[in-house]
Amino acid sequence: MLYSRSLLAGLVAGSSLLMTVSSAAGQHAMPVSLAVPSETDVAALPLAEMLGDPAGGDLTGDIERLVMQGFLETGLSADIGDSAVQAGRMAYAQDLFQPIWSKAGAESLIRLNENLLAYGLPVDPDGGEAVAQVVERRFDAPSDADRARADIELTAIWLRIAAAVSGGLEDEGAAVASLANQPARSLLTTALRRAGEGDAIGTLTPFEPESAQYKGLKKALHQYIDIQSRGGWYAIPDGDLVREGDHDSRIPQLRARLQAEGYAIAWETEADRDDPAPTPTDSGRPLVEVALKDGAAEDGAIAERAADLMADPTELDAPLVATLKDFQSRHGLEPDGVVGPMTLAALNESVESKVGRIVRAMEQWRSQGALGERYVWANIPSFTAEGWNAGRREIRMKTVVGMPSRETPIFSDQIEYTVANPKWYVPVSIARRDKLPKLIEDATYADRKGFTVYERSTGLQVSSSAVNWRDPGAVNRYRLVQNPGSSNALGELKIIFPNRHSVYLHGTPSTSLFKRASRAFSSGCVRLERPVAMANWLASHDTRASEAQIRRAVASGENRHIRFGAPIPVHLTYVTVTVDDEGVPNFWRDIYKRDDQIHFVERYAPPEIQTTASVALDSMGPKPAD
Amino acid sequence: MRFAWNLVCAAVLFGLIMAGSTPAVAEGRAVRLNGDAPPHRIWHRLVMPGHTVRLDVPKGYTASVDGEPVGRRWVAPEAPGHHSLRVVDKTGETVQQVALFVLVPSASIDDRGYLEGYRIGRYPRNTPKGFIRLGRNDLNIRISPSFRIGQFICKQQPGHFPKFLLVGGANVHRLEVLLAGLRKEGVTKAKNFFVMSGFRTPYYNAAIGSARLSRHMYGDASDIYVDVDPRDGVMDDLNGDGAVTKADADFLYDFAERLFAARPDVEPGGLGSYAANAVHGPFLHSDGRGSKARWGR
Repeated sequence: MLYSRSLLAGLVAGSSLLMTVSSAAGQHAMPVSLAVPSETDVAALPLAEMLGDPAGGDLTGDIERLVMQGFLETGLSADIGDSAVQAGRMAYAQDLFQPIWSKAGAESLIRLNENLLAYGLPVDPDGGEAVAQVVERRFDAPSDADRARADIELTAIWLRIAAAVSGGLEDEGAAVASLANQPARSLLTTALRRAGEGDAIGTLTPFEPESAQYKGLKKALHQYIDIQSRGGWYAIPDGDLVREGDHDSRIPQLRARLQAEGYAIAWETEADRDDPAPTPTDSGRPLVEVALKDGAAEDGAIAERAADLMADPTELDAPLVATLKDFQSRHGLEPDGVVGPMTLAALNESVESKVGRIVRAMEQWRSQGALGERYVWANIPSFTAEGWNAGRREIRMKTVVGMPSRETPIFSDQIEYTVANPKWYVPVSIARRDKLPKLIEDATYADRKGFTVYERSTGLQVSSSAVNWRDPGAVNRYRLVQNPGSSNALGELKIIFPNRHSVYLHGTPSTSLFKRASRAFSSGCVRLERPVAMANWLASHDTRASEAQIRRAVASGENRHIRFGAPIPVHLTYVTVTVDDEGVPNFWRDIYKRDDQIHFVERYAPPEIQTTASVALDSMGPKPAD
Repeated sequence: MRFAWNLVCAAVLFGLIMAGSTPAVAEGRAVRLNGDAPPHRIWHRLVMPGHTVRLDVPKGYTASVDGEPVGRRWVAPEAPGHHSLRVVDKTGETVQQVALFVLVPSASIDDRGYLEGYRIGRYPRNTPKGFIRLGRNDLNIRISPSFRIGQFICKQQPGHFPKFLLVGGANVHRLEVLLAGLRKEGVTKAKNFFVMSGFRTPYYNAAIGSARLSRHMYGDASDIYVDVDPRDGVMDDLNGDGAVTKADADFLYDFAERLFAARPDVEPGGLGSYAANAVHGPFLHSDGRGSKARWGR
């Protein structure tokens, strides 16, 4: 995240940085040979001689001189990987140092630079002017040397954007191994030349993350930027709980607030009142695209027309409750249709804050790198685990994740095997925190819950009742192992990707927790709602394990290991905005307080707007902005 | 040091021009060119204009060049180009096919370092005697059972023809041996390697900032990876660990190391394992430098 910001700072500062470099290079008129470590007699060979003579006129000659002096490297390699800079050098070398940037290419680069927000990249207000100046120098500077410099600077600008869009164009290192699996990057040299020929924008497509989430977020970003440009929404003041059928002066504001984000709300008419089961709206799906088409003026007209039909604008009526429930479930809240403090907090997050969250989610997908052809994605704030294959989601289920004090870690690894009817080897930390109090309180606890107690020093089994659990050292001397069975904490099955966090996917006997909207209850592992279904999905694609094998193993009631023929990547992420299959964004609660950039609307609706948006509220004055 | 380098270069040049001191490795290929049997049924030779290739064809076999019967000697024409030597047995089946490349003498490189508009640059030393000249339609000429000449061209001047290059027999033979080994052990079903970088002119080698005395300038080195499963422009997951990383290049390296050590027909050479970076995936460098060199592992 921070890294990419610095990239972007460089992006707009690029031209000036390169200008500094170019004047510095100008002071050394003599060709500077590149430092290539070699034997002494070899070092004496002039590199320039190997090149032969420059091919063309003064412009290509000047480009050749600058490139061979390391102009690109000096200007760029602090920001992007050496090899990406090398790609720029290759692009020049391949065409004998012909300029890369045509007029059409340069104009497309200006357009690209103006449109960086579409990629979730911050836009510097002065950046456009800076790029335009380099373009001007490229074609109108009096000297060939200046035009040559400008051509290389444009190349640097495009490379910086490509790096930012792709997530860094980093060289493979221990920390970013997964980034290496990016076939599109081998196209960098070709894409650069095509950009220069006229398509600076289209040539970036292969460098964008391939994940469906990134693509969906990019569309959602476009929609939320539009909502932002239309003024977003106003804060709804705090107040009493409002339930279905209650009247409250803030209900018209609630309605306006939901509509501003594109949620469709059916208007309840007198006729609906007689209908015991009012038809829900199109499940209240945020119709952002519809909202985009309707101008604000038209919204007003709709509101006025609707006002005639409405029973009472201050009532939290059934259609509004349906929409509110949809809003709640898309914001990680219990979908109870009640206006309460948490729902208000979610409603009062500003559109700017949501735009920022989308941008940060896009950035996370960029730095996540390639996910793999087939993989498991467990996202913490959405409490979900999904199986993806060939760009399609094939399985999805709810999860329970680590509580805030025992956070589930964020990392990627490889699933190697699964264990049916697992034993649970209770970690000392959990034994001390969770089990010791129960063992002390209830002498039958160990037997009832299927725990076997072993003395660590001898490895021998002992009776739980023979252990003095009040002794604080007992958890270190004795090991608790829970046998397979209905109360086993790991449920029917666990899925293992050996890692230093000792985190895995497993089932649970506490299935009632899956009914909750917010599910951060575990000690760090990820509990699956349907662990056997997930294992079956893994096996269904596997060369070695089969679904039948997993079914039999689970049914046996015995502790059985099943190894997968090929490891399957698993990605544990903390992305607070996800898009569903229809491309609608969901904004999850920041359960681990990682996203410190969530902001709230500070403006309350001025009275006249409240009146318009809230449909004629003569009797109700606006609440004071407290 | 200088002496050693000269020796290596001489070996390379000898290998290029005399092509192949490798013995025949299979039955039925008793055909010899200047005393050497090609190591594969499909092969190539580089010949200077006007030079003679002595052909030893066993009894009962018939040799032809470009469809014309040929006796015990074939004299390369003065004009550079490609000629096809074919040897058939009594039943008319082809037992040996050799692409004969008549080289453009390096004396034709102009003072500025160009050959017909193709920028060669200048060799710091040991300028090869000549270069293969390829027209637009020559890229698919087969130089061995699995490889075509077009896979080895330099990446410079994409639209420009003719192109010039060198390709060494020892280099290609190593690739064939490695490929056959991988297929035999079921590592891959690939029918060839992706040659990321074969020949490089001194110009291009210098322009991209590569090592000054790169083996690539002599057609003696190849940077390769296996790319069939999936065919996506990067190395396959050869070691089966679920990711494409340097470990796959290392796998290839180790495999080649082990395989070549057991093969007397593979001359000593260089092996290098490379990690992926922003513009390419992991790959293996292999060259036939005539002495053992190892790096990157």
